Amino acid sequence: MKKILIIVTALFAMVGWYVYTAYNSLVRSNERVLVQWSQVETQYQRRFDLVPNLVASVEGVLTQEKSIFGELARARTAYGSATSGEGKVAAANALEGVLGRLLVIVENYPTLKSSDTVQVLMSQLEGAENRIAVERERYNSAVQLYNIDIKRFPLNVLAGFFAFQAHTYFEAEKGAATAPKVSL
Amino acid sequence: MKQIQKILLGAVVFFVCGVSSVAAYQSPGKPAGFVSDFAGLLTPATKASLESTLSLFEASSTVEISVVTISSLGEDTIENFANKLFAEWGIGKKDKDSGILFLVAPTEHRVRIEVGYGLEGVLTDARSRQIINRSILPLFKRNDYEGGIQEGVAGILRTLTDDPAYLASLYEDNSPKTFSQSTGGDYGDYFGAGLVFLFFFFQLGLGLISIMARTRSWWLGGVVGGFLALLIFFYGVPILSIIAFFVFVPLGLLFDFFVSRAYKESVSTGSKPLWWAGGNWGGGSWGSSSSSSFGGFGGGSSGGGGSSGRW
Repeated sequence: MKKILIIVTALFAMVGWYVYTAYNSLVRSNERVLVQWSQVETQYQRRFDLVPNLVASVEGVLTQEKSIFGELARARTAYGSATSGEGKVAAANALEGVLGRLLVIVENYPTLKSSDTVQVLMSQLEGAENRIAVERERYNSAVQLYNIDIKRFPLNVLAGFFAFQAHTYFEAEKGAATAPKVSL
Repeated sequence: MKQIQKILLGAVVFFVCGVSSVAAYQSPGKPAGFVSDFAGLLTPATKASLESTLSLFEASSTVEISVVTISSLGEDTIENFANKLFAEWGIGKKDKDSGILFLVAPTEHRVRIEVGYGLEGVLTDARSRQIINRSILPLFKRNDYEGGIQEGVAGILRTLTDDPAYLASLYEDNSPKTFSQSTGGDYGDYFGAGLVFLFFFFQLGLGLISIMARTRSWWLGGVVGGFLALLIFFYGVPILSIIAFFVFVPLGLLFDFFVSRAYKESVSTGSKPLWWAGGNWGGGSWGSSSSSSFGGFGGGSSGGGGSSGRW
């Protein structure tokens, strides 16, 4: 009788310990995804912060391209007012498209192209794009680890019980891979 | 500007594909030092002088600058490759992220300076681009890779320090370079190779001692002694080798006995004896510590800062 009691207690302790560590590991990998997403947003913000400087340095020359500055401003406001992750991604993708077009335009203005200020801004923009790329990729790998965690047996039982949801991968906007059209 | 477009597009394309398939990054292997010339663009003398400059700089500033040339990027972009390599090697000190990777891919005509988080404020994207465009690319375009790499390193160093005297001292205390210059030839290279050889044997010895110490038995020392005697035999002195055999084997056994005992003591007291090799329990930095003088990078990370160029 005593023996059975000991065995049952030991079993319960083992299961309890497993649930405890497994739950904590899920919390940890979930947190890693959230932290990584905030890294993506930090880099988005960084790029948005570059826009006013860029605009200020090219606006004077690009008097015929007023519309593009309007679009840039709209993308910025959209990003600022976006509350959900998807909204932010959409606004950031919109900005990406407009910036791409602006770069093409700038290329057609030799005075701008050779300007030191514009060169510096371009390198900053390039750096911002690359940082975003890096953080997005890290986000995706964090999501991958987490998603595997919650889908694999036996953790999936626990994940279902504690309602851990799968995170979605970051995917670039459809059509973003096609070159922007330039209308001059 | 076309280039920026391409980078932008590259990043987007990468993500569209990157979600389902893992990036095409292929590790070039372990770092050979501060300079890892996998593509073979540098002469031994230049390599040695860069190595000495960079290690002097690291010693005084804790900034780890890694110069890497690779024969191929595979299917990868240089931005992604640089970032992955940076992460794999952990360039820069862990707590400061003070690392810089200067990566050259001659086949693809791409160059990149990737800057660790801790140095992004000093070596800005704009500054990296300036170094690439003004110091590196003009020389690369003339196929002067060696000159371009030296100029690039000089540009990076100039950015990180304002003190010209300090800068000069990094190049001054540079024995392999001055050595080969004064004798005007390969002598310096032989000297360097000899040093490397010596060092290799020294490390090999350390590794062996470490193994002897870890195994509780002490027959390995005898085997090593016997092997040494055998070496002498093959060098053409058979009689000497017989004497050597009777001297070295007991000596080896005795030696193994002592290091094994010292090892046991060191484990129980937690202190590390002088001949300790192979790092910590479970950490296993065996390979890197026994093959070169370079102790590996500090574990810093980067997040895509810096700039790239093409020629």
